[in-house]
Amino acid sequence: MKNHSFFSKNQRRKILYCSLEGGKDQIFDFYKQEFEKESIHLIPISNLSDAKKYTSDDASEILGFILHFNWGEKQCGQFIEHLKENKLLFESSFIFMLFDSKSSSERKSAFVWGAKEVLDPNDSKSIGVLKDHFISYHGDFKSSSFSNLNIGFLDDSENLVESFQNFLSQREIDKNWSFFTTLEDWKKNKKSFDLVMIDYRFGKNLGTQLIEEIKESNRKALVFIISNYISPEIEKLCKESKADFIFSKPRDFNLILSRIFEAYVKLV
Amino acid sequence: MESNEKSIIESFIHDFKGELRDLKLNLEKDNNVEGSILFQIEMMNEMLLAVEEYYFFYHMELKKKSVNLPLLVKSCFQKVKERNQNRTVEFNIILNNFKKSNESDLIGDDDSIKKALSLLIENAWKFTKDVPNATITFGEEDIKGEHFFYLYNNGPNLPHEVNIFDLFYGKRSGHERAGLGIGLPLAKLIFEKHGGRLWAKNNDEGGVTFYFKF
Repeated sequence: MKNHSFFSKNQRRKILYCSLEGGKDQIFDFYKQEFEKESIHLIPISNLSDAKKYTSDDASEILGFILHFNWGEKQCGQFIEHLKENKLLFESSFIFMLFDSKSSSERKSAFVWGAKEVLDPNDSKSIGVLKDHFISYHGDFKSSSFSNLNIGFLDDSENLVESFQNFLSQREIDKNWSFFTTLEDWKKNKKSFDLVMIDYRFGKNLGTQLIEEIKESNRKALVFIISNYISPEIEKLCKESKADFIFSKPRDFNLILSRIFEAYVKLV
Repeated sequence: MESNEKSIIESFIHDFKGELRDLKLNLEKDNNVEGSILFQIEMMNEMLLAVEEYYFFYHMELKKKSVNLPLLVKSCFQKVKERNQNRTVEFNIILNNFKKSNESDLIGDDDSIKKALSLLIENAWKFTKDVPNATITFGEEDIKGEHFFYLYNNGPNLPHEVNIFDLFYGKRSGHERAGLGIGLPLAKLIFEKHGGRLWAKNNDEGGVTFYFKF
């Protein structure tokens, strides 16, 4: 597996971690270590005035915020208001709320404040979701090894395709990508690709039916099947059809990019 | 008929997820969208994922073999503990007759039994959060001639007004620490798939005991 950093030298690399105990919080140490692996620095904050000061002094270095509900609902709310008032919630900064209990009222507050994601610190998957988000939103895919590949993306959800195209174009990484929302469009405009992502249910067809022809036009082409739902039977069929990788579409479409990248890096 | 039903459910999960994502994408185009609407979409998505997980275990083919239950319980407890380093919970194992029971009937699907045990331990961990000297005990007991394993926690008693083994009971319970209510129904399903049982009892002196067998 190739070593790869998603971040270029001059990118923002700091995330503010606001919680009751700041750096003494034991989850903080674990998160800090995990983020350091991606060259992202987690800054512990335990009081509101420090948080406000940090965002005023070093706003240009901040990648995002992780707010812990144990910091206090009032304090979280005041800090978010401060960020909004000072226009510090620009496009590249997102808020992630962690919550102690799974209380619906906490979750609701978080979303009403505009949280991008609500995560449970007790869930071992949370760190993965956090890293995924920060990497997908901020990773420098322009310099990554898959920026030189011809990539095809076949999905009949026009909404998903449009949003994904916009996302790639904003980051200026769309030039090697081709999108197809219908089988007719694919038949008319297909070419030789290095990497193709196909929705398992592509229109009236199964995405797996296209694998053979893709590999015929380029024997080295990698084909990933993506789907909203993957049962053991679907997984078996995809493997039998020689799909190189199968993954469930993440709920947040922006995460598709890092999923594809992770899979690609594992395979080459 | 069963395969038709399966295909309908799988198509529903697939298509509904897509619709929810499209709805979220459309709403996010509007910067002034109410957070409470996004929250409701999030809840729908989580409920769908919960149904998907329940459905997965419902149809899962069990690969049965001999199960070392004390080892599984210890490893599940350890994993929950690693994820929750900010708390200390006392963990005890009391197994008096284990050798006897182990010889005859501890056959099960390792992965799914591990899943069920983890769900029970996570539940115990969550509900002992505000209890001083939080304790979880794994043991065994003969009740009316029937042999059960149990997992006791000294958290608050269970509410009487909801059935904790109903899917989404947590959402209906209004308890601030309750999640959606997928964990316990899923654990029950797993034990029942093994031909066993899972039930719970409030202890008179406080705390809750979950009894199970498989």
